Amino acid sequence: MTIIMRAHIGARSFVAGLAWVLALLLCDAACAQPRLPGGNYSISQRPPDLPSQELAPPPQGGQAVTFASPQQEGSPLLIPAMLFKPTGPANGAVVIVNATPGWSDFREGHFGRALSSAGYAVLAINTYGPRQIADTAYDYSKLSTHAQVLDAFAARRYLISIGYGADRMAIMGTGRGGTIALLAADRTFVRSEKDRFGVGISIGADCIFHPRQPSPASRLFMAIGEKDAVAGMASCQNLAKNYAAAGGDVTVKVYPGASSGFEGHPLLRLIYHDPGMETFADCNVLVERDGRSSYSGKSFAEGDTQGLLAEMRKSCVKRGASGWTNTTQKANLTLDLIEFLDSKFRF
Amino acid sequence: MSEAVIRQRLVAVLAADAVGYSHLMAREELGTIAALEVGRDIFKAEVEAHQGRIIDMAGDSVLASFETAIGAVRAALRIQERLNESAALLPRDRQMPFRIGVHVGDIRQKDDGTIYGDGVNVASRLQALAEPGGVAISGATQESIRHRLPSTFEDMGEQRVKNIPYLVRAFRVRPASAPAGSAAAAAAAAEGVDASAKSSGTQFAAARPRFRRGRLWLWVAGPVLLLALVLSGAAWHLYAAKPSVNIDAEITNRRATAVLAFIDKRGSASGSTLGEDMADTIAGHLVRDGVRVIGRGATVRQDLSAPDFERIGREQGVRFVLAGRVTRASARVLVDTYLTEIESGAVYRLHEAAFAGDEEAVKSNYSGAVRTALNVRFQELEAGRARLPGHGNSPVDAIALGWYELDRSNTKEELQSARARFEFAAAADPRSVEASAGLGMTHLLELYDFQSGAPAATLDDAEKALKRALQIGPDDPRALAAWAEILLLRQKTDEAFWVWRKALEISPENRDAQVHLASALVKQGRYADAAENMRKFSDLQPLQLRLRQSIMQGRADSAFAQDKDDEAYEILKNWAAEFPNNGKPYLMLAAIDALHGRNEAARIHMAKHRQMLPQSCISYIVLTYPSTDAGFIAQRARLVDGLRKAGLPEAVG
Repeated sequence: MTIIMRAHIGARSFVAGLAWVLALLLCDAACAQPRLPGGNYSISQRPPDLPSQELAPPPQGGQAVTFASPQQEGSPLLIPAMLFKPTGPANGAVVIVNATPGWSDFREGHFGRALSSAGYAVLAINTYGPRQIADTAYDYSKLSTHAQVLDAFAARRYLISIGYGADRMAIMGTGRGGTIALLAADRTFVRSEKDRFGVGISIGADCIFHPRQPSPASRLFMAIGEKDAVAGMASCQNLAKNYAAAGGDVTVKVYPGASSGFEGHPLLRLIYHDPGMETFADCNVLVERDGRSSYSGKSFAEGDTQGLLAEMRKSCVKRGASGWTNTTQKANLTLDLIEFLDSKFRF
Repeated sequence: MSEAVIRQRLVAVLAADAVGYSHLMAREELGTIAALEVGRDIFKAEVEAHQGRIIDMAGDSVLASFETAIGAVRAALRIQERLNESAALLPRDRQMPFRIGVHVGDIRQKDDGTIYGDGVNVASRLQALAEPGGVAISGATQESIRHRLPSTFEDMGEQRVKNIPYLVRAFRVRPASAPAGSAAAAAAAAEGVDASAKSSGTQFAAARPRFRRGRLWLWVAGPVLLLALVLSGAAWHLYAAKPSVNIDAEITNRRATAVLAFIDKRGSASGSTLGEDMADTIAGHLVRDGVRVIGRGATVRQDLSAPDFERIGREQGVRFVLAGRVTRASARVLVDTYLTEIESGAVYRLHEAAFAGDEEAVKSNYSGAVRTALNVRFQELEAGRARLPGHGNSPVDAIALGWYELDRSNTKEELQSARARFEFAAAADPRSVEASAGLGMTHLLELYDFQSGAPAATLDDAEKALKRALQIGPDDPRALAAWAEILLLRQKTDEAFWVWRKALEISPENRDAQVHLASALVKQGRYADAAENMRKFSDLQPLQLRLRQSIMQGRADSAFAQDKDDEAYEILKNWAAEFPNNGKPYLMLAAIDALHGRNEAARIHMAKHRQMLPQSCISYIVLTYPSTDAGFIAQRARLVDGLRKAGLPEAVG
């Protein structure tokens, strides 16, 4: 704001001008929108047209495939997936479970292309599509995490069926997809050793579920955004600590200046605020050996995400979070993932 | 900071700022970002086209320097013209005009290219005096260009500007042919006052009424005015006739890359310089390829394990960062190279290789493989960017999308879409090698894909476009590789092989040339040589769809020509399964079926082929299998025999 004061003004005008300046300064302080560290922009609403088909097309550059995922009830579900094959023999294979807002080219497609260029076969799976779910950011209970874990195991079996080695399998995901990767990395949720992934990678995962007795099944890489208001840092760091204490091999990396969804669309580099998004930074659900969850003194079956969430919404679940894409950290995270996978599978 | 790193220079400075940017951002963020990106692209292209240099593009402002005042003002006028054209497509309330100021003055320049001083400040203040969508220049600038630029200069008088202790004379400048479109001019015209009344210097506007002094004056002034109008028209024509955008230069500019030293923790600890050596060798190769490279010296302060990519992009004016990693395990040295696109955060491993030691790594052709992979990724990333909302309208984006589509095209519609993009680019910049080479390739592929209704005429069109490409860029490897194909089709086999060799001398890793050469070797009956060439293609990326299909066809042709029909059949079946919208594999499948008495299968395969490629006929097939080798010609006759049995007509009516 620039205020030009004329050179020839009387004392009265000067006082009036001064009053204006003070008023404007006060208004500026009172009316200013909150600002987040890491960006110079005031918070705006999340653009209403996101994710649209134009800005969030499905992953590109791979081969569209489907595989059958057996369901607890009824006939198997056909899960759509995008298979990214490496040039030459694969160092390993990675299942990517779709993120909270569904799968997209700028997230799952990005990781599919990057990891396949580094020698890994990647199967990005869309667990929402066949269930007619577009997004779970506003209602986490639309789909049970247990059903998604079963999809991930089916994806693993599919990769083995087309020739990829069972001993070199990784599971990864961002946001909710990362939560599924964390579940699949603990024997509490893995019913059969045949389903075990060698490596699990979570990016900005909601670290809601904490096994009462952690039983590490995979080597873990947990990427945490320093400013992730959806998942929070403490809950994930605690989970990692418990996992390591139980003998697990876990690497935690915090990305400075990174928010929830920092690996998102390159056009969303300004801070946006989504008032309806559910957040879980204060949520901690204990999971028993048999898969039942305990929260607030109540017990829930493994597939009863709806019942559990209804109880959690009474206390720990909040709404509203801000985010922004950080392409520097997105690139650094991708390089870190390749290095981590190489250290486990290549060398 | 020492004096030695700061130089004082006299340059023309262009400063620009978007009008209403904050307001637009508050209203509609994504659209405003997209509009700003379009504006930035125009600035980049025109500054480059007028031999200028972008210094900074922070937020909604642009700062550029030019060696000449006329270059700066021409660029400013052209930028406003293009921004106007671009804005015309948007509703009025979403348009984002720029103000531009130009001043010639002293600046101080640091080694990293940053400029400071009064020259910059004055240009910046002049910018604020310009109308939205207009250009304001200083008296010093007007003084040096007024006799050389056919423009109208409106004297704005001496202006007192912030933080400059002296008065600055300012002029509004418009192209002579531009209508007095400003609000001031319109108001003046309504009052019967000529808007150019305040103009000074070289003017091409109508004379003011008060100078009317009877018939004698008219007799003198009339012809003078007419002559002036003719001269200004001619000058403007010459100016406007110049390409408005230098596509090839812009493509080079877009590929600007910063190369970081490779991480080599264990090696560095033991005194090895392999990390630096690999980075320098690759940077050297890229420079020879014409890529604008920022060497590792400029990014020496970066934390190599977590580079600040966006900062590198801002400070070095690059869109890509090339980095790498040296891993030492079990007496082996593994070297990986990565490309990062700063804007999207996209990361690709370009190449990995293992060596027995540092010396072997340095002496290897590792950087050649990196260059090949880099070109493919550049193309992929540029096409990805051009497909983002707010992009895709510039001729440079059209080139990126054209090659992208060409690499995926299997249908006539896909080929036509690619051709339309190259034609658009060629019209915008007739001197673009990329545009002409792309255009030539679309004709050549139309011919080879059996999609032409008049193959001889299509061959002529391909020849004409590729000749044009080689006239502008005689050493362009892609145009050379395609030209050799023309020579082969014209039965000038020796010349064709000579041209392929030349293309590969210029660019040894050029996959287009290698694949075409391998295919030509098959057609000359040199199957062993062809097989050796094809073995090099194991590193083809999955996204190189056309090249992958060319290799499948080459292998099938080679097997068939050596009477290995079962092997050819297997290759063709796989090809058809992987690319179901391509009718080509069914051609030879039908022939092999017919030759082996599988008449029903032959009929089905031929029907599929003809359904997808109705222009296909015997004479067309013979044209696309040119050869001077008697053995191959005999095999071609066997193929034709099979095709006749399968029901392919001699000619298409």
